[in-house]
Amino acid sequence: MSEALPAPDVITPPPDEAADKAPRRKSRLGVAGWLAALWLLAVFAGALLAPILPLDDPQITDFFVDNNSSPGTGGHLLGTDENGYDIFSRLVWGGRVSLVVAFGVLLLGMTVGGLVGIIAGYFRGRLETLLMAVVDIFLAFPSLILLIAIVAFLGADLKNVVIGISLVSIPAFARIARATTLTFSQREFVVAARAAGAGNGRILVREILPNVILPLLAFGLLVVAIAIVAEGSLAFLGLTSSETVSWGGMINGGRRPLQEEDIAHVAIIPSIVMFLTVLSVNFLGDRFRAAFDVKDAAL
Amino acid sequence: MQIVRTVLERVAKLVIVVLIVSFLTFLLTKLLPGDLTATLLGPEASNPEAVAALEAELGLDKPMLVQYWDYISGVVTDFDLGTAYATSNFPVKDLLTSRLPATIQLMLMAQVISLAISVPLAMLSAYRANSLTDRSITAGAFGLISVPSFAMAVFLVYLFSLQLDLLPALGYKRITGPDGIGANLRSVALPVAVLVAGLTAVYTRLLRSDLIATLQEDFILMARSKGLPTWHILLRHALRPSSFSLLTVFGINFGSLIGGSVILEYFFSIPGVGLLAVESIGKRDYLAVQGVVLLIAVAFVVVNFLVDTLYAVLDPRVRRAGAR
Repeated sequence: MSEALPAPDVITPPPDEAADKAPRRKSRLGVAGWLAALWLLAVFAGALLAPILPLDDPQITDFFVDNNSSPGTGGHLLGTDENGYDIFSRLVWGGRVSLVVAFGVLLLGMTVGGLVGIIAGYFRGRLETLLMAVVDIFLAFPSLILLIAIVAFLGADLKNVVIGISLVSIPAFARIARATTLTFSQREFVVAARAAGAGNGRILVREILPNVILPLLAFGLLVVAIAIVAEGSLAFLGLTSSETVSWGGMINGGRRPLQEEDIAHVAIIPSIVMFLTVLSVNFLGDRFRAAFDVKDAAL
Repeated sequence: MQIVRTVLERVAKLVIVVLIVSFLTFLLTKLLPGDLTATLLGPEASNPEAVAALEAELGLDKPMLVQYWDYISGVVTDFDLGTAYATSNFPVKDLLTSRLPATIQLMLMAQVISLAISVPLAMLSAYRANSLTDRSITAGAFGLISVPSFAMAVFLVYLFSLQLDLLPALGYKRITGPDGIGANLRSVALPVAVLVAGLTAVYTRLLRSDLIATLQEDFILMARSKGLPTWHILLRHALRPSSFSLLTVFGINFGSLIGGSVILEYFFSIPGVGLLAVESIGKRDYLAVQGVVLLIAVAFVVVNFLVDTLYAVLDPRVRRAGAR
């Protein structure tokens, strides 16, 4: 449950794994890891290939079967939803949104946050104090409410959702980048580079960046999981454009059947898909972070 | 004297942060497109004179800094949070107080229950690190963390309302309502359970890893070699020094749960503060939005202050170091 972004919901701090790392075996992924990777690959491929796959149109009502009809009815593998749309097709198309959000946040949030953090951690002094004060104030905002406000005011479409989630993720990236930069900027190879006459720009790009980027990316996977949930939360609250097919929106659409008509599959199927996706991202991220020994305490 | 100074310093810092947050909230509602006059006037909004008249009436024509000053001085002197123009002209303060009980009930119940579950679980898990028990608990917590709250709500409603027919699938009954506390508890059981699932997972993981680190310390070996019983070591020796991350996150969650319960309040139709925020944002009812954010920010900052103070109570080293 993420909710750091939004925390969507409740802030989930990344747990500190340092203490129990010792007995971890060398085997890289394990069965569960491969399953997670396989699942993500399937979602990814489905999302990419959705337009050319032989799927029903996700936005066209099938008038030959009842709305909310159960899985298997009338050739609908997973049934239809409240509008008579094919659920399986919507799941595949909905993966696109999660994918866009994941990459958008990595691209935007990680780049900006990483840059801020590296600069603050490398140059220290007043600049650091100022940048980190801004970051801290940002963090004092209730992130889900902030996100809802940004998206609601800017207009609820996918572009603004990505912008909103990225904005909210910047402080967390900035903090981790700063912490990592701090540990590297005093190391011998940086001192050596400086002694050899390298300028700040060269040190930042050639010495600091390569060391910061992998931990940052490892942390980024955690943020991706949170971002997917955040997008789902927004869509769940109705903050998407009507053309966007999103898992969160599907779950929202399944609320009425679930709570008032005792029809469960419309809400449950996208919930399971969302859970499996977030679980897979979290699992791989966890392995990745363990490999790079990202100290979550540094957050 | 040192303590008084530290406390004063922290209070000053607290006030500054709250002021900045309130100003930024104010800016946010001003800078982002879409405005209240459009909501209030409806089709009339295309008439510039009507818009201007309404803006003058609401004080929206004044310079921004003056508007902020009017707002914040009203808050400070009379605890006046303004009027929710798009919500039947209710005073924002009344709106908040009518919505707070449900949110606070959810939050308190969830926090207390998840703490009561996670502390023993974490102790069991840490004491038997890498045993089957530990691995099941850790895996379970990991799985629970990955369930988005709305998905968990769907699963629990399916199980407890549809299959078992035990609990209502939505709605909120006040404690003071005709059916009393029983109906109230039944109506919050599922949303609280969703929150507890997520919080317990987080708390258990945090406390477990800190406990494992503490259990490696020499003073634990010492206690063990004195022959003290296991439960005594865990409770009296290990728990206290291991509780810092847990305490921090526990504190932060008091702030974030006020906003974080949005999803569940929406799902279960519970009239809480989170739902109020969503409704007000939708209506561009900016004073109500400001009121909610201000409330959350204050709660957040105050709780963090209390947590900082608690550190000093829990850890003599922090106490002696005085101001950090």
